[in-house]
Amino acid sequence: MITTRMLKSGFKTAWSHKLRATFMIASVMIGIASLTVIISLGKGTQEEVLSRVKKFFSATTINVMSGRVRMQGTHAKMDPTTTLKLSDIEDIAARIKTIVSWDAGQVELDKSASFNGQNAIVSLHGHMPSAEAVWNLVITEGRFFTKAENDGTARVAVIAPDVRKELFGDSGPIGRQIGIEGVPFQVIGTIAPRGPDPHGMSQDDQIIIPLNTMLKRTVNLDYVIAAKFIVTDKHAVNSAAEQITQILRERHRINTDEGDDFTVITPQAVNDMIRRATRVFNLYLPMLSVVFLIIGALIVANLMLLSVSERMKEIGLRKAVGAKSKDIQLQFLIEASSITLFAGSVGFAAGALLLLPITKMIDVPYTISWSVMLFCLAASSFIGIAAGFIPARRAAVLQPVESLR
Amino acid sequence: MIEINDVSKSYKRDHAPEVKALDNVSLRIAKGEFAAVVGPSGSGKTTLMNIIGLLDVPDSGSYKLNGKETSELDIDELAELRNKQIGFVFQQFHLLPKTTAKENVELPLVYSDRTKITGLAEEALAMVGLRERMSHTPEELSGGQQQKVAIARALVNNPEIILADEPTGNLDSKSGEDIMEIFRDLNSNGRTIILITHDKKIASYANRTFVIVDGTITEEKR
Repeated sequence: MITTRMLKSGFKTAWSHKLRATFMIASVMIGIASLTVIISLGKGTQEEVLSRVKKFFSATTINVMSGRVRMQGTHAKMDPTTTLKLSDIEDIAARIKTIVSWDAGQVELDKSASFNGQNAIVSLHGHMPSAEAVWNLVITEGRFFTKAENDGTARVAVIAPDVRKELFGDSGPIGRQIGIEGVPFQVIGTIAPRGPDPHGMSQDDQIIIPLNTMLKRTVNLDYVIAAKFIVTDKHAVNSAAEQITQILRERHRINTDEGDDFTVITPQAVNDMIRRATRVFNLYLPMLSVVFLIIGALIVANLMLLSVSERMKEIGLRKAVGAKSKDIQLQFLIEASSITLFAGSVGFAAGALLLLPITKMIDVPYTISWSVMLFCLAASSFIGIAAGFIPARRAAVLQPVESLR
Repeated sequence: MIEINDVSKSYKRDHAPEVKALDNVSLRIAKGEFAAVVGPSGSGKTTLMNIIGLLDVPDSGSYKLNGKETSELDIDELAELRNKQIGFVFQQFHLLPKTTAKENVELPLVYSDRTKITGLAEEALAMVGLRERMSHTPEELSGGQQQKVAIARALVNNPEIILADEPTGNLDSKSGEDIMEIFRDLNSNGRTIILITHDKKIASYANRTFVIVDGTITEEKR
């Protein structure tokens, strides 16, 4: 009962000093708004990258890349070697019992494809027949190639939407002969759009041909660039990844003091890499806005102190008519935190609005979460209480006779 | 009701000798009396008022309010006692600026443990004849009206004692008389009034007059 009366009275006096309240609100608002923007942008970027990557690295997959993969910012830098052979991959698949399916591939970028005078720059991918299932490819027309076609180095191709559009326009591609770097291939299927890969590159400019055909007839190589294994369940991932490493080191005759000439990527490792790469967004920038918040808190504390000395008479009067020390203390805490809580709400709203144009500009999904809002509100009321504490103490210990004079 | 025995109070200021504001003062005021404490400035009358009003505690001596010794109470117990038993009227009115008359009058109720408080402020304002001004702020009221609001505030919690420190000091003589009439009415309704003033004419409204000079008190016989 007494507390509700005091709450009402506290709110009233907090707002009766408009200019001071405005300054306090502004100082906290800026900090909270920047925190909102930064946390949401960080989360948005991370989620965007994670969701892109999740399509590639579902929980039961292990990817093996040839050479060492290093992270540079949010991008993986690859440095492929010529040592990863198809036989390595086949051996792994045969020896590890938890592997249920697998694919291996080779890639050549910027290859030319032609049909009937139409040309397209494509990325040429060689895959195993199992790639359709391993990569969740959606066949829109025709079919994927078979084991027999791969074994027999058949010149058959499955094309992605952009290639189809550039070479065939509206006409049907199935059964047509196209030229890839001058070599004739028969189109046997088309696949649905897949969007960008984890590096942000389009996958819709691909032509997929049997790996054997690619290695023996097109690029004349005997190694692959990457392989993907799918294991029985996610608990099998780590031990399978360890075994893959062992088998490859063994087969590549790598001494114990030498590093791997390949990279095994588990979903956990990918997550860790992304979190490390986005740390600047998710740790350092929020720290910067916490500094803003601390400055805001100092301003609030300062203005509240000023308010205490300005309002000696009011404090004395309140004490004379029966306010106890804790009542006065509570009043100043309520004043400070009601102002900062309001400022926090406004700051959050301002940040949420500001995010609209920013996310549009840098092409990141607009995400704003309840947890961010709750955090902002909690932070701003905490600031109020922390910043109001010393002024409130000072007001509370004033003697009524001293302050009434 | 008020029993003060041998109360002394000294103030020590920086770089100045100790000042003995009250020197073995004894004073008894019964329920329903209208008493004035008269003295020139620096005589210790404000110190006496602070002690009677429980705003300050004596260095030595005893003060019993309604038979209860107060010199042992801590500051929160004193605050509660002030809230329940004493209404203050100050020379400077001490109204909260930009706050309506009604809200000013309600201030003691904010700190009261009463459960039902609706209507009390209006009632108190009606007693001083300012009911229709209850939504005015101090800035919109004359000095006399402001002091009436302050009296309503002193009355709102229905205390037994009204303690008024130079209540007419900032008012013209006409408003001053109005205010003193209100005190006289309150007293005739049974309330104990203690008036602190330097003005003998104002003191003449009271039934008893104490004179304080250099920290010692004597009752003026009539």
